[in-house]
Amino acid sequence: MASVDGLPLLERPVLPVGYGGREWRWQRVGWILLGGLVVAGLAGLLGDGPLSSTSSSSIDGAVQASFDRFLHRSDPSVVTLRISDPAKGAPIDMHVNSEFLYRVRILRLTPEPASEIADPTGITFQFAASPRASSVEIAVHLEPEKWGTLQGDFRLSDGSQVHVAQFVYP
Amino acid sequence: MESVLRDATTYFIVWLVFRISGKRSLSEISTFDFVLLLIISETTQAALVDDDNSVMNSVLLIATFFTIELGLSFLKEWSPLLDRIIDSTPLLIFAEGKLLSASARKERVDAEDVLEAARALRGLESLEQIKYAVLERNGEITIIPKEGATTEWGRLHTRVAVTAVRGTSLSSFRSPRAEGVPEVIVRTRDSSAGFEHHRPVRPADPRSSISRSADCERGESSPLSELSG
Repeated sequence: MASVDGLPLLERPVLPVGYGGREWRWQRVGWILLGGLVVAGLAGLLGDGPLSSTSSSSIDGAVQASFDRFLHRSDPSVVTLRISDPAKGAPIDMHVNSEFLYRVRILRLTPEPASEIADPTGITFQFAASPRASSVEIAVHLEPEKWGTLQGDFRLSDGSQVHVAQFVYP
Repeated sequence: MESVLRDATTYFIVWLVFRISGKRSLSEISTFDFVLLLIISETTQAALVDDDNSVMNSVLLIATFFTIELGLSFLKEWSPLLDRIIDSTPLLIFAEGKLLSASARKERVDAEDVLEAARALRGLESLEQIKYAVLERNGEITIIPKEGATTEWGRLHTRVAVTAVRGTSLSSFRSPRAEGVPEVIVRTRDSSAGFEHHRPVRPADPRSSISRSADCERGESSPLSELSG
């Protein structure tokens, strides 16, 4: 048997040679996926970020909603509603659909509603408005409790309605 | 986006803290260090997670950590300067029977630490048996014994390792630089003299053993032949 320094040369490799090839290819695919996740995260496709922020408005343009498209379950978020030209001095009634309320926990509303009236289709929040206000902004602080799509309809007493569509990641 | 940025910031801050605390900080963990690590991990977790305990946030945090790690490894390979900034360099702390006190003091290493590593790694009994001691980038101390100083125990371990390498067909190794030709980089640094040397050693024949490197054929000693005692 061949020997080096009096020690026999091993006939078979003892190191785990042959490592590589297909495994390296899979590793590189994994790296690309990891990088893609981070880029998507930075862009806002997996949570908050530039591509996540969006807005929608009612058909007549009286109500505009700003919100995040993508949310995380149990991570607080805000839906901001801007109501233009509210009826001078009259309270603002805002109805929120029950499907939306079943899937989120309302943490607080800013300003505080004067009253809340529940009906089978949802809850109507009533806000006092200043007679001099040309627009009113209402912030709905919420925490998603279920993952999946979240469809919210915010309707005013004059019939203006804005739709909010969000996706909640688990 | 916030998760990724928070993660990257925390990573940088933790790296910076450990980097400026020196090589020896992580090599040996005392009870106090252990408590410190626990506190750091708790604080870091609070900063990373905030109120978001969702699965997606965890996925993003993990992906960001690994991407930063991968990115840094590519950067370190591309730029030796960045490599040195991020991971530091091995430091010669003991040479030919003498502790290089300037380097050793700055790295908070004493002769006892060198002797402890010599006993643990090589089974050596005294400092006189040590040729070089190097403080590696991970804070470990590695020992190169003097000719004939290695005990039977140390020699056995070295020979097993060398034989394992020799017994392997070198063409099986894949090097990103040259297929089948492993490259051994010998890097020595004497901080007192401000001298640093990178010496690539390649076997003349890819199928020859590593110890028979070009330097050996010229009659110079190879780092691996020194190790074989």
